[in-house]
Amino acid sequence: MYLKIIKKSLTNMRDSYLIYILSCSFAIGLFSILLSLINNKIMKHDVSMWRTSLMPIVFSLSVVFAVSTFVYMAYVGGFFIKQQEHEFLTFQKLGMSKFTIIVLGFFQTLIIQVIAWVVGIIEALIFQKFFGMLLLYLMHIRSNFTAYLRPTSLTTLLQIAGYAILVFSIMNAFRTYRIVRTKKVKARKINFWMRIPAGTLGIVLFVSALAVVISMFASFENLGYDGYGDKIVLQVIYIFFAFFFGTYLIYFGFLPVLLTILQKTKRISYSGLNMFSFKYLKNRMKRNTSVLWFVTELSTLALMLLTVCYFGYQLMYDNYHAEYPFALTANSDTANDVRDIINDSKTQVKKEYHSNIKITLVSTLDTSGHILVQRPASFMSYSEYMRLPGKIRQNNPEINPKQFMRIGFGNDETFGFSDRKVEWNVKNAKKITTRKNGSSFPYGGGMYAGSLMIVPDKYYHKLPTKTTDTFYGWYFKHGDRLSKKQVKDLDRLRHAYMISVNAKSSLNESNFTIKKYSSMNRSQNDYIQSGFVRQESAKQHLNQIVGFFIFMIAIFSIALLIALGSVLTLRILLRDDHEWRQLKTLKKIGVSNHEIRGIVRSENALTFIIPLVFALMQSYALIILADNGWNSLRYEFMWIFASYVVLYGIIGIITYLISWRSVKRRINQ
Amino acid sequence: MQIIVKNIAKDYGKRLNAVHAIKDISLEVNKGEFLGIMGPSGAGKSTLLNMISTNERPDHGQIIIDNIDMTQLHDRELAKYRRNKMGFIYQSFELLDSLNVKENIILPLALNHANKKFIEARVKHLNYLLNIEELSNRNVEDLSLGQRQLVSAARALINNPEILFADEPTGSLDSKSATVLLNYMQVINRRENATILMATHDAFTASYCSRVIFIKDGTIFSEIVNSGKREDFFEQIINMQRTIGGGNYFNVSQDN
Repeated sequence: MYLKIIKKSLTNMRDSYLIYILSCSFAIGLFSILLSLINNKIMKHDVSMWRTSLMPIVFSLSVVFAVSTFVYMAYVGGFFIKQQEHEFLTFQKLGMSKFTIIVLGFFQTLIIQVIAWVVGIIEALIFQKFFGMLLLYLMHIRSNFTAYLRPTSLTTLLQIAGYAILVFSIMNAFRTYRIVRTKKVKARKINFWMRIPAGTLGIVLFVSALAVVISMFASFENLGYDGYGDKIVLQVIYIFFAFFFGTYLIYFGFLPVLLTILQKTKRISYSGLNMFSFKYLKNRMKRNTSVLWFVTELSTLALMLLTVCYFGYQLMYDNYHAEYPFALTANSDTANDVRDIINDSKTQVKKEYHSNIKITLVSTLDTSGHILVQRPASFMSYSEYMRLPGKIRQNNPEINPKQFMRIGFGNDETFGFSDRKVEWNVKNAKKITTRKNGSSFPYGGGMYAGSLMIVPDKYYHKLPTKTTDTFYGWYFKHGDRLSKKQVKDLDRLRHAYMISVNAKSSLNESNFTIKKYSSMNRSQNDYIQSGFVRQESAKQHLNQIVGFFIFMIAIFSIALLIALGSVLTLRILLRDDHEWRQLKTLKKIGVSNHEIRGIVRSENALTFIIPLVFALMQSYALIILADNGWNSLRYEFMWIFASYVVLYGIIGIITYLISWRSVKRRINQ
Repeated sequence: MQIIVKNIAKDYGKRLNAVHAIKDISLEVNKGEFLGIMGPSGAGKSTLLNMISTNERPDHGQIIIDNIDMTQLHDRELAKYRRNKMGFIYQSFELLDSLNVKENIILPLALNHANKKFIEARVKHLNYLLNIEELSNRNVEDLSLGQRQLVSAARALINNPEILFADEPTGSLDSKSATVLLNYMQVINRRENATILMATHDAFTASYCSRVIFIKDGTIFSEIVNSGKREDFFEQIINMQRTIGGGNYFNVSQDN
């Protein structure tokens, strides 16, 4: 008998259970895969960074994933018990004991959880190899991935499964107990009049947050991004607060009030199904306020994270290209040795470049903007600079033969280039003032002991310094093919010389000397000139890190999307008896299937579109705020925005189709 | 002839578990007639009513209303026809809990995008006719069962239907409320010349009809026509119930 009841419940909610099982098993599968990757022999052996830096990250992410999955499974699992409230109460009225009903709730959950875990672990066993291969492919590692799940990992996984199944079943048994217990806590009915001020406050908070974003954005432009004061920190806190609570209050107050106004406006409500639709949607919205808010805020977070991750990825690549414009670079001291090593190897040189530079002392303001610091700097003539490949120059601002341009390190330059005013006092030469700032060093940032100034040819020739150097850069035909031994030989040339600064009170009296590099006798005033910079070693690390993070972000994003989508889908599918009855009544009094379908469509649109719109508005505002120069991220954000909308749209359409299918089945019964 | 039912049949369930709810029924109903459909539980009364009211489609046969073959119409056209020409009263009232009394009543007109003034006028008229003016702004859950059925009747009549379908309308009501409702139905039948088809297993309720057909095991067993005197007609119905052998199922004892 009890088995029959459980079977009937599972059959009645089969669509919803199927969605829940699939999303849970997907999360369990991914968690199992992450767990298996941690101790995978191939990863440990073939990926140099795995043991040192990536393995702890995977472990931490697995823990985060496990916690999120637990919260999702526990929270969404409760929907089904709530859905059966009426049924459980009927059992109780018919004389079934509380204990039996609680046991029913327990075993029902147990069955679903066992199925989800079994499917999830099977998924992991099947797809482990695929995900491993995908990770290696993304990390540019040519190795054959072997799926491997250590017996201890499997035991751990089964133990987690056992505990989780038990915990979720007990949680649902407790939820069942709360339904059938004699003394019931009366659900507080929220007065409609409370929703009006709440909704107004929500709109005020949300709009004011948007206004503060716009005003901050304007002030950034006017101030030229001169740092973040206390006021700005307070404004940012306010924006987060206002978006966070404003959105909730909009769901809680504004939207129900708006639907009530529409419903009370006879001109609108006395037309077609509007009168019913507004009330029905309002009731559904009241029931799902927390879920909609939860989905909105998590979507905002996801969109922001995705954009920030993409931004980080782009930054790394830009930095990489700025740091390593050539496959290999050297200076005049090491050029011959480097050339010999290249000639001895299988590496074929495609093209060679060289440029002369001058080195002298300059004094500039330090980062605080108050203290003048004396340090060596390099100078390159405009003609030499223009002889370099265009792609090295493309990340710097354009200059004419009479202009100066500083190429340096710093926050402003990291985000592209800025028009910050730079002043250099140059030893025994004319002071340089420029607003042209670049970040892409010819021959790579690692080749310079300090900043570089591109100067007009005339200035360059007049610059009084005896210290000159020549930088060499090589492009290779079929990539870098240096052997390990050759790389070792190259390593000996890492440091060319040291520039030792002897600073005096006046810049013109200060001087510097060129010394042979020695790690032992190095002082604070010594600046090192690198002997070479090799692109290949950095490239491998970059590919591995980027590939790894793309993999992880993709997994997390897809899991989050499925989780949020399924929460919304289940909220739509799991209508209570009262809501079902209303749709059925409409059908009986002459409302066509087409019109009822319209209500289902509106409900879907309201549930999916509103959180998405709010999430996009919030994340967009917060991203442009974080980015300062929002133009650099607008394009990327549009892409992420579009992908997110498309994926969400697909889930929304699928939900609508499933929802309509179940409604049709129920109203035609 | 307003309604012509020709050899309709309806089965529920699949193959081995199939139940023949309606086997082969043919029937004709005149305009302005008050037809009762009686029979024991499970005889097929509600199924027959649902098919004539186009809420369900027969497996076989034809249902012709006002010379239109309903079995040939698309679902959307059927819904439109139901909404414009028919009204429904159910034993379980089928009121929408989320709407108040007035909103429930005007829903069929709102569905037809009727003029606001016309809607208000109709509500006023029905409130007066059924004496439910003071209920207008109340919630459905605050009403007594009798009041709910009156509201349900008002909703059924708001679009001035040509045919009114009532499925056990007095099933949930006490005798006083039932009498009030039946009197109103008779008034509507006479004043508005509405055709009424009512399924019931209550002899007293059926005695308000002008004709009653008896269904047993999915077929028409017999019919009685009201000669004019309600008490005699009531007796005839009771006798027919005894003949049909459904005393156990009817709310009339064998000893009556």
